[in-house]
Amino acid sequence: MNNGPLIFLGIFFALAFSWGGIIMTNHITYGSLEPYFDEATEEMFPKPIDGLAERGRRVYAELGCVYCHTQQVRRPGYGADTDRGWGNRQSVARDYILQDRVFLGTMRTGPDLMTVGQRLPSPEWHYNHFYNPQITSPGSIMPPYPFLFEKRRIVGEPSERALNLPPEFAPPEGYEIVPTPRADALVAYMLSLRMDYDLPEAPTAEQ
Amino acid sequence: MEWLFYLIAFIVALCITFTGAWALRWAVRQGQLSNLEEQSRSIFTEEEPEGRQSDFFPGRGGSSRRSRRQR
Amino acid sequence: MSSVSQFVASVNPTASADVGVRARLREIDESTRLPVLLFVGAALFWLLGGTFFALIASIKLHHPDFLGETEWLTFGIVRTVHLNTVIYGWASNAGIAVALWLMARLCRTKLHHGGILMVAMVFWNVGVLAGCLGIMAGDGLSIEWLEFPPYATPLLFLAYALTGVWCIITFRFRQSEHTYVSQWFLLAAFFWFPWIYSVAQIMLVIEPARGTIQALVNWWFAHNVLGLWFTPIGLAAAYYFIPKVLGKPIHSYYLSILGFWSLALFYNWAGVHHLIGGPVPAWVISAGTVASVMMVIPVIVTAINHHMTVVGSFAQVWRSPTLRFVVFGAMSYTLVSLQGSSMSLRTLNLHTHFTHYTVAHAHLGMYGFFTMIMFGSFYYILPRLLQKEWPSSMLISVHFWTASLGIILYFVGLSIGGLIQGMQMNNPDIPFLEVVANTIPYLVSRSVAGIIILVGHLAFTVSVVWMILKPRSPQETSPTLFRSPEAMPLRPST
Ligand code: HEC
Repeated sequence: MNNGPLIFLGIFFALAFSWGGIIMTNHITYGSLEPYFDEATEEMFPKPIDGLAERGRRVYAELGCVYCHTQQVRRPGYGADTDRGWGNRQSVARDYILQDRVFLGTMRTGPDLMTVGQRLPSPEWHYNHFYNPQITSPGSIMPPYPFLFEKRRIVGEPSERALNLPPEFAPPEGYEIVPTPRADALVAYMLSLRMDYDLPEAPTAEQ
Repeated sequence: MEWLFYLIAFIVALCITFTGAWALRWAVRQGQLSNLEEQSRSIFTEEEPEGRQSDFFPGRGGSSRRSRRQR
Repeated sequence: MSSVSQFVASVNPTASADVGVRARLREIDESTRLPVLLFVGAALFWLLGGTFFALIASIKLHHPDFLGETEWLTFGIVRTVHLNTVIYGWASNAGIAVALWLMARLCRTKLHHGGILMVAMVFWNVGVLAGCLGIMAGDGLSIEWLEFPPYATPLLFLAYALTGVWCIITFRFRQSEHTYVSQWFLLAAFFWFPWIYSVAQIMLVIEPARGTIQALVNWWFAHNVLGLWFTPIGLAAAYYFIPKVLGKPIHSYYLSILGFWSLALFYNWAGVHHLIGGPVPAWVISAGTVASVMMVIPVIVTAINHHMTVVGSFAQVWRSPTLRFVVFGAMSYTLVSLQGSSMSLRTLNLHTHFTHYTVAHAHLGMYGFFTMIMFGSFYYILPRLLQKEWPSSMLISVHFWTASLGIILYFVGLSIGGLIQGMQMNNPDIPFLEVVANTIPYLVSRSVAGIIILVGHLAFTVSVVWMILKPRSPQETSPTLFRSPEAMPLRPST
């Protein structure tokens, strides 16, 4: 008995069905969303991030931050995203359209980072945190990233870029820790992560 | 909006079910599903026949002679 | 062209089925020996590598300073290398090895042009190696399950094309009168994988789609790798080995077919449940949830079928290394799939989304189900390829107990940890760092499970290497696993 054709057709259509339904339908319906033009302020949202932050995005991918951090705020009723201060509205498809790679993430070993630039605006905090998360967040299981920094001997004046570290994390006498360009880029990227604009489809939750 | 989700979910479920039912009907009509149980025997051969276990822990094959069918 | 016609000629049966089959089964096994062994060897290499990386990653999650100075050993990279070595290195190589052997056997045709497969094997593994080194060098893409840098993927495609084409050719020239359900699953797997992989590559890497469409493509792919590539291969093996080893046909062939079609229809919609609550259209999620719940049908059908086949034969299962592993795998399949369906329901998903619970679930699927079935299959296939007995029962037992207890500990520990993490994360009064601290004991239990599992993998590797190296003893011309009925000692002479 030759049921080859039946098997093949079935196999083909089963996948074609979901490919059409999940991928193509959505690609057609919202695959070309445009930024929102706010008439009042004459601005486009979301805004593109600058070049340094864009490079930081690349570092974010290289180091695999996405395996511990999400970048999506769910609406109230789905977890405590807004209550934890991870954003004051849900994130929607339009928020992501300018990103060449979307880091929605699926794991929250660490907090959501969709709005971390608003929540933690201080670059010093981030430099210290990346150098060793125990400095800012004792008990954290986020890995340290000392290789984003350079430990160097102080010649003459200490660099003004040197990290201001608490004694137990400080380098030996005569040495200083300065960020590399990759650290600068990553911090710029962190600060660029914000959702401080309204979109018509996702109004800010009334308090 | 909730009702919309459920409506759509329901329609999707119906579509999926009907596609399945249709494919099944077609297959039955084609006779693809007759003789089924015979097909399930196609894995046995003279070398490894039906009715005889064909895998044991090494060296312990003897202890399972009981399971071998005498022919 | 001439090679094709030779091929056609060489698989056209002249011998009648009765006489031909027995000789041929052995010939078939022999003809697959080299390619299958190569794939098995590669799989083992990646299994060990992947386990080491897993262990490092696991330890880093409770001791973040461990190996913290080295960039290519940072958590995000180690974890990714682990995932890719076990998925594309171990599981895919193992799956291909088993699929080739099964396909040739079920089609009752000798494997022709094994050279193609060896070339494919080399390409595939060079591709995986390049991909992993690329990730360590910082070229990883950070797209889950698709991290390999673009320079590694063409190799994989090429390798894949060779294997897939080979598989379909073999099926086209089958000698058997019937197609057994395992063949359905294998054919489907070999057809589905390149499709989902190329769609994912095109829409995520080559010409990235806009915004969150990427997430849809990503999870459509990542879930379908499990559902449409590993699951069919695993089920094909289960549907073959359970009845085969027991020597009795599957309980209901009809149910197995029903299981096949319902899986084909529902599984490929289920992936989007990874995006519940996320910035994608709600109707897609609803559809994904419906499909995830409908997955109960193929799962229950398969479970009944396997269970009813095994029931009453537990003693035989216990005596067979193959079946111990395969039946464990089949049981995990039922469990993991029902769990998956439940996790797509909003009430449970609220607590399990974004937590270690999902990680535990994934490992029950890839390890408890797929890997265990692959181990079981190897225990059956290798003696037949090498014409030798497994060297040590003890090593097999060690492997079985470490693997099964290891994955149970892993699953139970991390699931509890994940639930705690999820519930506490949903309570905004508990500071985040406290949530982190509360999961640490469970993360430690995972490392312990990892060490246990590693011991099992070492035992298995020793078994295989020992078996290959040891000389074939004269008594072993027909290994017990393998003895033809005439040679059996207890048979009354006729
Ligand atoms: C092993 C998982 C893990 C990885 C990998 C990881 N993080 Fe974290 N991250 C955490 C945890 C846990 C916290 C919460 C404790 C803390 O502040 O350190 C955190 C906190 C943060 C915070 C502070 C957020 C807040 O609201 O307090 C930022 C910013 C951050 N991580 C950025 C990054 C970046 C950038 C990377 C990649 C270079 C990264 N993380 C990699 C686990 C991780």
